[in-house]
Amino acid sequence: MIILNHIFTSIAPKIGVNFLWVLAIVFAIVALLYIGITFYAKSNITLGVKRNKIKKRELGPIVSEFLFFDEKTASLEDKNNYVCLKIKIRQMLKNKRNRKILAEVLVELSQDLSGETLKSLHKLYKDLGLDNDALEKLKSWRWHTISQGIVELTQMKVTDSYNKITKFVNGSRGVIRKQSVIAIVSLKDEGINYFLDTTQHKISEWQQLKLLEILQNKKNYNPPSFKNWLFSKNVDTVLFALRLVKHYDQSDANSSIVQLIRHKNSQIRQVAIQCVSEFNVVEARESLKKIFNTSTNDTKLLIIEALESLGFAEDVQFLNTIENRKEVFAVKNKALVAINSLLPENHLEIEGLEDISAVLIQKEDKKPLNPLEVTVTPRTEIEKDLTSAIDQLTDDTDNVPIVNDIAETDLLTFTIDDTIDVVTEVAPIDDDKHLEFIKFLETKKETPKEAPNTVYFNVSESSSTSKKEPENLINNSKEALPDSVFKSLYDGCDTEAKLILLDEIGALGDEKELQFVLSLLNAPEIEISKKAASVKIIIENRLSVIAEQDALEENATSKLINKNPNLQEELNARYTNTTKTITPIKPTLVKELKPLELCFLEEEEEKTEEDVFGFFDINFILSEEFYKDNCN
Amino acid sequence: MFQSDFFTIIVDYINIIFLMFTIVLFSGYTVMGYLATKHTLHYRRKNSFGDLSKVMASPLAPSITIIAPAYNEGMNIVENVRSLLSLNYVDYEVMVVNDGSKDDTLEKMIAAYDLVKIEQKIDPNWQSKPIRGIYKSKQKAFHKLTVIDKENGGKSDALNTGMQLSNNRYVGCIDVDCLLLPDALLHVVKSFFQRSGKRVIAVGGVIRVANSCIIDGGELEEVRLPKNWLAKFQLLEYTRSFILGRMAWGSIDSLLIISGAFGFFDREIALAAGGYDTNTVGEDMEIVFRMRRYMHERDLPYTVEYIPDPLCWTEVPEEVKIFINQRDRWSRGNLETLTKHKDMFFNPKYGRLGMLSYPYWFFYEWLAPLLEFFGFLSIILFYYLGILNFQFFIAITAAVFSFSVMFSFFAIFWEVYAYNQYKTKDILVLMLFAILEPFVFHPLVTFSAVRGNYKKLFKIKSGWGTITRKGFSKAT
Repeated sequence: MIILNHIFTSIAPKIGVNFLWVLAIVFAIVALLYIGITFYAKSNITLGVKRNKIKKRELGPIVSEFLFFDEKTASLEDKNNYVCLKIKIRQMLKNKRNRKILAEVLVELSQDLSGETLKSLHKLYKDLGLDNDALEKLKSWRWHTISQGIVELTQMKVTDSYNKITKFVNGSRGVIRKQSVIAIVSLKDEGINYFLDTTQHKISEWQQLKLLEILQNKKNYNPPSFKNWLFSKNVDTVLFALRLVKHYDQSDANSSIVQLIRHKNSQIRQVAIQCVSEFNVVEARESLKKIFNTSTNDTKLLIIEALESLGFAEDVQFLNTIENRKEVFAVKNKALVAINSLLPENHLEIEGLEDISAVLIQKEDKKPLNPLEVTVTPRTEIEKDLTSAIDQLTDDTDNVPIVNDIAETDLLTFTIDDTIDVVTEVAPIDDDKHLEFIKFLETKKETPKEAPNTVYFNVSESSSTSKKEPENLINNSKEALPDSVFKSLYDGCDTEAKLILLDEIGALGDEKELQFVLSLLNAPEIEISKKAASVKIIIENRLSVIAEQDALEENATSKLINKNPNLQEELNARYTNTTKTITPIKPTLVKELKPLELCFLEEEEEKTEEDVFGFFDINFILSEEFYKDNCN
Repeated sequence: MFQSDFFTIIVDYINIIFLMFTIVLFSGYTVMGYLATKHTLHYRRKNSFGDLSKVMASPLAPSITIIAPAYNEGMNIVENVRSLLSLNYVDYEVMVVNDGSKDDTLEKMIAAYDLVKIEQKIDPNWQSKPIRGIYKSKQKAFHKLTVIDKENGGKSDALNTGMQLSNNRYVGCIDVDCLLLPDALLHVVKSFFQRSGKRVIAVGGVIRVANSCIIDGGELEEVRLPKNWLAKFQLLEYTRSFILGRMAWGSIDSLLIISGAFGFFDREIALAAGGYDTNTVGEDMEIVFRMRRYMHERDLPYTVEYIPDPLCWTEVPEEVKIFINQRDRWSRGNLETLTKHKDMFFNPKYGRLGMLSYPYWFFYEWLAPLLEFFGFLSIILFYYLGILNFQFFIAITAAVFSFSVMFSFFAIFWEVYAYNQYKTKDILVLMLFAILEPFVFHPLVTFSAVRGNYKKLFKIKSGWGTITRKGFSKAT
């Protein structure tokens, strides 16, 4: 027992009370020191800020004098004052702190100035030899001093420092490296080429964002062909180059972009998909389908979005398989939306979508369709079909006058575009004979073989699409829209004229103009992009009102059509097919107004609507009674 | 004789355990101070140049959804939402989730923002309380606003709903009554985007105390020291915690908690990890644990970023009862999260997370208040038994007290150095409160923690409790 007691006593640690008191005193002293340091730091910060403020207030007017001094117009007294100021400032600059503050003043000013004044400021900075201080900073061993030097040289556009700064582009310190890249891209146009050629490090998304911002703000910038870097060894270079290709609409890189869809890096894949969608690269559809299964959900959503904008009826089968597969809700939902967009006639029957599209696919010709080929019925066939259809109609109904009217019509003069307009204009007619004709056209829409063609004869489907937000509506149709008439005018204008033109677009434009305005949102000139944004809102507002009106009209029209369901079967499958390559046009177009170009063309040829459409002259307004009767 | 000696030895051993515990704590705090200092200096130098505002409209800037759950916030909801809608960023959405409020929260929003019910497809498999409606404003000016009305399911459920309905790459989960500074989203985007080798899965930031501050039109006009004594103590605590603690953990990429008042997440990872846990009241800590585990177990390079800039201002409780309820909930949440992820405890598979962060949270965030409480009971017992060594007790108390005051002063110094937002007089008051804290505020915190653990241990039902907000002071 005694031994055990001894062992415990000997190993049990003892804490000296004195030691604890020493600790307490040490901590208390350090705490007191902190009080001193805190108040010293506070007064130092406050005083420093105050002193700098006073100094800047003193230097500000002197700098202004220098900037706005004009030797030609200055009086003798002004010139004397100017020389005195020069002497004064030279004296001041002997002090290092004053030099630092002056440099700060100039850098701050440079952010608020532009044009000639800014150039004068840059010149003043160099004249005063402040660039030498900044260049000296590049020799420092402290990373933040070097960074400050680089930032200053960049802000003050000291292009002579370009070569010195390029040495840091692949340096080991991340902060310096990033600042140097920003510097070389800012200082010279070829900076971006040098960077993309030589960079060995990763490029963070923040850095890409900053670099793009710099490029966007460059005036008269002629971007290089970024496709040259699309197969760089550095994955981040590829990604950044791809984003630049997209930003600058360099569609000459299409084949490379299609290859990048299969890139291992998911970010590159995603940007490539966005590119093919934006550049309307229809040949990328198969590649998109191939990578679908191995993609992340985000990429899958992008693929479906791309297929929605690039795809055709034949792609519905693929989208159906997605819809039926074990996918997350967002993907399935997106696929459904895409199917509805590609086959809008089924939009109102989402529940039965699977069956409908299956039937359509079965009926489709096994031979794959060329996306640029649509079936077009020869005009003589149309004439025959119409006449016989009308013969049938006259047998069944009492609408005799329509036969005469149609028989008198010179359908041979119709072109495809005319037909679109005819249908567009016929849609709101409150007249049985015309409605029968619409019904006839409706039957054509539902013939699977004519799937791509049905877009021209799609009247009632607009009731579903027109309910969409204007933006979505534009997205769906933007590939198919013809160029805005303003585009060619815009291309030949200077900035001021462009702004005026944008105002005009805002007042007159429709969806074609909206698409054009969207392309200007990322214009290199800030004022243009800002104006484009405001014009976009104006047009969108107008379009949404039009879309609502259309929806109302469509609703009424389709109700009337349903009164004669037998027409469809009788007139079905009468078309014989020939093929003609044209640009595919989306269904949403059907409801559009005539393109401005067409209006101008008609004006030139002094044609009236009657000349073009004959009995289809539908220059009228629907009465309120029509809506009351048919909408409720 | 033997019994007496043996008892002395036991007491000595207890002393040594407590001393070791304290030494490790002191050393830990010292290291934290060092890391925080280093990181703060680095951050300030790195961010002394560059203008964030220029990039806010960049085509490469990501879209963000700010999810703000609201429950009985009728008093301030309109003002708070307006403040959220006026941030300096182009591509963002404010999604207010009305979590079955019993007051007029929804009605006020509908009236103020001209809201109409819209149709939107919802994943039928998504587990959350039923959504009663989704609202958008008819006015273009409020196009960024989406209001979701759902049945009450708690904060986590509301946040999960928002996360699910968002289509954006990043989601911010905030308290609707928080004030975000206009540039907050720009800082967040920078934090998400500045890394090139690792995926930033979450971004957290400093929470500042807004009590008594002057706020006008959703903007912070003047920073003032809180008038209320409890709020002053909390300000001191927040300063220590955010400027030193989280800064240090953030600097070694071991941050385990992102405050529920200001947390931004990579939506894809947050959803893949399962979103917020609806069975815990410590959901803000739990989701970070889970997201980190998700990335760790898949061996994916990732990080959690911490922004030291004062971007989010919140109102802290000014009443003792509400304060105790809040801390009680925090300690329950802490325990629930630690229990749920107990397999990480000293598990080298999780690297620093398992070997450093988790043990720290276990010993010094969860266990420390309990030890303190039992230590206090022991002192009373020893005094009653007449075996209390007064000399030793006073010496060790003095050492611990002077260390805690020193550490608080250090935090105040960094507050001045980093932000310099308070007047000299206010700094003096804060220092005085740092001296009083161990006697006034700390016992309250310890009591709340013990109560929370007691409730959890004995399964006493307790939810979130209610916090009555007074609203920010308006500029006159």
